[in-house]
Formats: sequence, structure tokens, C-alpha cells
Amino acid sequence: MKVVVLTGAHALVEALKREGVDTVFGIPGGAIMPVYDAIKDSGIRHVLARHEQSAAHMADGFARASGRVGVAFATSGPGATNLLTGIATAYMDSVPVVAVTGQVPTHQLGTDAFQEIDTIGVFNPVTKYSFQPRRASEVPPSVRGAFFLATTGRTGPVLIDVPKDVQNTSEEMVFPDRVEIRGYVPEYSPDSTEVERAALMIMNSQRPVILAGAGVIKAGATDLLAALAERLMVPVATTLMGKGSFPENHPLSLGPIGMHGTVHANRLIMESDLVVNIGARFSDRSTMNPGEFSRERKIVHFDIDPTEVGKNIKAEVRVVGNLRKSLGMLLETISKISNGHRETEWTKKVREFRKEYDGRVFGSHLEFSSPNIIKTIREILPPDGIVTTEVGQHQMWAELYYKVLRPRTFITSGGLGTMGFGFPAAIGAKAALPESQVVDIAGDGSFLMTSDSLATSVTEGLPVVVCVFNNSSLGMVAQWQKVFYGGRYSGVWLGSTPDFVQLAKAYRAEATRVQSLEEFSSAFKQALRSEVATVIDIPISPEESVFPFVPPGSSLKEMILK
Amino acid sequence: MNGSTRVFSLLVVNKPGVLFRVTNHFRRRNFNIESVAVGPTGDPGLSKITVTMSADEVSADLFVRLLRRTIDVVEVEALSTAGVLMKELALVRVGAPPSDERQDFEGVVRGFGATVLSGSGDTVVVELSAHPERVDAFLTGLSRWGIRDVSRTGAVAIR
Repeated sequence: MKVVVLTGAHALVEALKREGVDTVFGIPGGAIMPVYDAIKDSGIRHVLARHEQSAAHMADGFARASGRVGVAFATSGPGATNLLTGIATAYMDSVPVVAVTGQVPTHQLGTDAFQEIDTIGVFNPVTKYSFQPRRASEVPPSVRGAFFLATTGRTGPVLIDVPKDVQNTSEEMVFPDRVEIRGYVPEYSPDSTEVERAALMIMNSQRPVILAGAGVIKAGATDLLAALAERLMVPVATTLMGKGSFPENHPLSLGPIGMHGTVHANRLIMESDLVVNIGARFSDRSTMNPGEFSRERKIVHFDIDPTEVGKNIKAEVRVVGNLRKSLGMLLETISKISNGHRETEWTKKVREFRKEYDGRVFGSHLEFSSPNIIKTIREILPPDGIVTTEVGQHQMWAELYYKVLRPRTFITSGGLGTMGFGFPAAIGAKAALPESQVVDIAGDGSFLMTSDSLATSVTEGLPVVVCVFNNSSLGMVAQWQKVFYGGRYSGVWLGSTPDFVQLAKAYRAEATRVQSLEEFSSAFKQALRSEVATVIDIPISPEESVFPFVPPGSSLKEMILK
Repeated sequence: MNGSTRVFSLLVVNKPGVLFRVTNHFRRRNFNIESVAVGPTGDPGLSKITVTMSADEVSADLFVRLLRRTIDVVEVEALSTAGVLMKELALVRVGAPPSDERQDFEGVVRGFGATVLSGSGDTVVVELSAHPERVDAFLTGLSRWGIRDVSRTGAVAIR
């Protein structure tokens, strides 16, 4: 290995380049200035955020859209704590993000120095791991280790906290190709006996349903999932995060299950005799009532993370390993035993349910309704167009009515449920895939949380379209207050401020307000052609609620439909 | 928290921050720790942490899952209290017995297999290495002479 002398800051930038990083998102500050000096002529693009939370969401959106690692920079103290929500969001959804934070010099650590915070301590519960190089020569192995951990096994965010003196010191640098992390097993080999048991169980079941999660997308195994479903004619439901793992216009697609799942997905999974979970973690929002969910049916669970298998729902068969490997083995086993395709009472029922419920709108009879606007977005946006969402009612309407056709084209904060995620994530996605059209389906409450990113979108030339479903309220909270608190609305009315059209224009973005489906349609088409960010303000009725709705603690069968 | 006493043996990488990452999981699920003992192993790169806590089965299962996911935790083993050897070291400073109780005192010490380390003026320091429950019983046995101070290591265990 060639040895070179570099400062810690230059070594950091060089190591990032060796990892293939071409874009980072961040905001500079005192403790990270040497890194900003080093990155200036490095060839790496720096996208200047206006708030570190947005920088982290941009890196996250970049990663989710492209499958590459997203990188976020922040200074120490408030820079780091602002980053926290974004990193926690990535952690909950297992997104490979590397956060680089500046830190006070090593001799000041623990002295409550200006802008000092115990960054490693604060980030511990929301990162897969963290590094704090204490001397410059530790920087390259820290970067290699961070990328290795972020991208292998169950992917996730990793932090590198670099004290300022470490950034400034020159040392001989060695850039390792690999680092050893003792006790870390990125992947287990799928157990062939378990795979065979899974195959037999699937083939012997009368009413199987596949439940596909984001793991399928992360493993790049969507083709294998489709092959499995088609070969055995097994219907595929997904989780919210699993949208994109299976084309939702496919005759075997049921759409998402869960609190706001489709009627056919929720009912059919509760009528199944076998659930084949592929890369989902059986979260509470998906299964709602774990006891009811696992009663009267068997469970087969495929996952890369051994600690997830059997955690929330007990499984009869557990296959731990990379889903590309385990699904490959499963398909091979099945092809030895069966010729595939079988028309049964169950497949007939799937067809009937799809006919009855697919795309059906509940709880709204208006033409200019949120579900219809979302369907219009789908009609206009090409199959590889990317949709991000914020968090709330609009997100659940998108879950229900926006049919995702390709992997990595639906980006949402499922685990942490972070309002303000969608817009910066859209900008990150656009930076990763400049040729793709990117749309943020937003609510007025969420959008205001990170609308500062309009400045980034405009100045960095990263145009995205923001569709603000504007009911002048925190709609999802209002919906719960209506249903569970006897209509005692508390703290949910946002009033008619800001004027989103004027807000967007103040940032030199384009903006328009629409009052009908037709107006929306033409505004949206125009926005997609625009060279700058466009905000479409869509006034909707605060009375609109999201249905179907499974109340917390209930079985998925118990859906409120209006 | 309900549940029985459970012992977990962890092999972790010997470097700063690992104990913090491990103990942070206790707080998260509100585990009530009875003792944590950390010490070196035959391998200088690894430390052993022995955790004794009261937990029900579900919590114990989650605890093990959280630890298995933690980088730098190389091995996690839930030891059933039945099949393991468990010991704890206790140093007890106790009031010196009056001369007419001296024989009783020595009886207790001998009975538990403890050792008198030093006696200075009105107190005596005794040492006992035993199962934690036996240490408890020993302290009860000594209590009539007034326990001034106790240092216990927490349990360590081996299969």
C-alpha cells in the first residue's frame, strides 16, 4: 500500500472519494472548517442545506433513490443535534447514510467547550455504529469502516465524529481496502433445510400470501420476488416500506396491509393460512394486533437480520440471510418439486377481491379529493418517476392510492414517521438521479417543517415538485381527535398562513394554487417541465379523513371504511 | 419488573464506549439490573461482561436481540441459573463482636467459608466469595454486629 502524508481533513475527503462519493449534503461551522476547506477543490459536489435536519434527509433520499450511500456533513454541537432527527429517520428505515460531524479538539473533549456536545453519546441509539478518530491516521480506516458497516448486513446510518485537531494534523496515511470489525457477521448463509421447509410449507398451503417489505428492495431481489409469486400464483401484499418491491398494477398485487392498508390486502392476509414474510419486520403499524395476526395461520419469515426473525411475530420457519441468496435457493427448491402455476379457489378469490377493491376510494365522494389527486399524479408521472412523502394523511392517501411500479420510486419515512422528511428527501433523490422526475406528496403541516429547503432546491438547481395537500390543519391528528377524542380538536388548526404560493415565490421557486382536478392536472404537467422547484398548493377539505382505518389494537379485519 | 433472575454472559471488544452501548439497552427497556461485572479474558482484545437482572422471558429475549445487533458485542449467552457456576466476591466491614460473642461471630464466618482480613479497633473486615444468594445470607448472619460498609463485585458466572 502506498503511504502519503495528508491532514486528517484531506484524508477524509480522499477516503470519501475512494468510496465513490460524488455528492455530500451539509452545512459548515467552526468545528468542521478544515473538512470544508479540503472538499472545496476535491471534485465532490457539496449541496448546501439550510438546516442540518434537511441535510440528513437529503442524504437519506439520495440513498433510497439510488441504492448508494448518502453522506451528510454538519458541525459540532447544534449542527450535530440538528442532524439527529434525520439520522434517526434513516436508522428506523435501515438506510445507508454516513454522517460526518466536526467536533471540538481532543484536548477540549468533555470540558463543555463552545459548541461541544457528546455527539457519539447522543447518536448511539440511532446509528448502527460510530467512529471518533483520535488521531489523523485513524481517519481512513474510520471512513472505510463506516461505509462497510453502513452498506452490509442490515444497512443503516453510521457516524464519524472528527475532532478539529484531528482534521488539522498531518500524518502518514494508509487507505485500507478492508477493515476487520470483530464479531460483526454481515450476512449468514441461508440454511438449506429451512429453505426446503419453507418451500414445502408454501406449496402445501391452501391460502398463502406473501408479505414483502423494504428488505426485498434493499437486496435488489424484486425480480426474484416476482418470479416466486408468478410461479406459484401467490398474491403479494406489502408493508408501507415494501411499496415498490412488487409492481402494484400486477394481477397478484394486493397493495399494502396495515392501519391504512387496502381492504383486499388486510382481509386476504387475515383469511390466509400462511404468511410468507420476505424482508419485513412485522411492525405494529403493519400487523396492528400481533395475537390476532398470527392466530390461525403459519408464518415463514425471510430476513437478513437474525434479530428480527421471530421478534414481533413467532415464525414456524425462519430463513436468515441475504434475500437474493435465500429467494434464489427457494426458487430452485420449488422448481425441483413443482411445475408451478395453479389455479385454485384462493387465486379466484384474489381476483374477485382485486376487482372489487383495487383502487376503490373510501370515505370521499368528491371529484376534487385527495385520493383522486393522487391517482392523477400516478397517471401523469412516468413509471420511473420518484414520489416522496411527508408524514400524515397525505402519506396514507399515497400509500393507498399511489401505485408504485418500480423499486426505489416511493420514498417515505415509515419507521420514525418524520414530518418534514419528504421535501429534502426529494431534493436528495433528484441529486442522485437528475434525469428522474421527483415529486413530494406533502401536507401543509409537514412541508412547513423543512420548507427552508426551497432555498437549496432553487440555488443548487435541483428542481422537484411539491404537491401540498393543504387542509390548514394537522390532519392526521385531527382525524384521531375526531374518532378517539369525541371531536375535541386541540392544537391542530394551522390557520390560513402561510400563503404557500407567496412563500415559494419568496424563494424564487414557481408556485400555483389549484381548485379542481383539471387545474391540478395541467399545473402538475407544467411543473414537471419546469427548470425550478414548483409548489402546487392544493386546498382540500379538513373534513376529509383517511379510510380504510384500522383502530390501534384491533385486528386487520376490523376496518373502519367511512 | 416481573420475572426471574437471569444471567447473561457477554463477550465484547475491549475498547472505549462498548460498556456504554451495552448498558444503554438496559435503560431502554427499563431492565432492572442486579449486577454488572466487567473483566478481562484470556484474549486481550476481548472483555467479558456478566449481567444479572430480573426479567421476564419476553424482555430477556429482546435484550439478547438488541445485544446481538450491537457491533462490538461478539457473543451473547443467556445462562440458565441452573447449569452455571456463579460467584460473587464481597468485602464486609462489620462491627467487632464483644468478647462474649466472639465465638458466635467466628461460627458465622467459618460456616460460610469466609475469611477475616483485618481487624482494626472496633470493626473487622471479612471476605466471602460465594453465590450471590449465599452472600445475602452471610450479610444477614453478620447484621447483629452492625454492617458498616459492603463492597460486592456483582456476580460472575461460567458454564
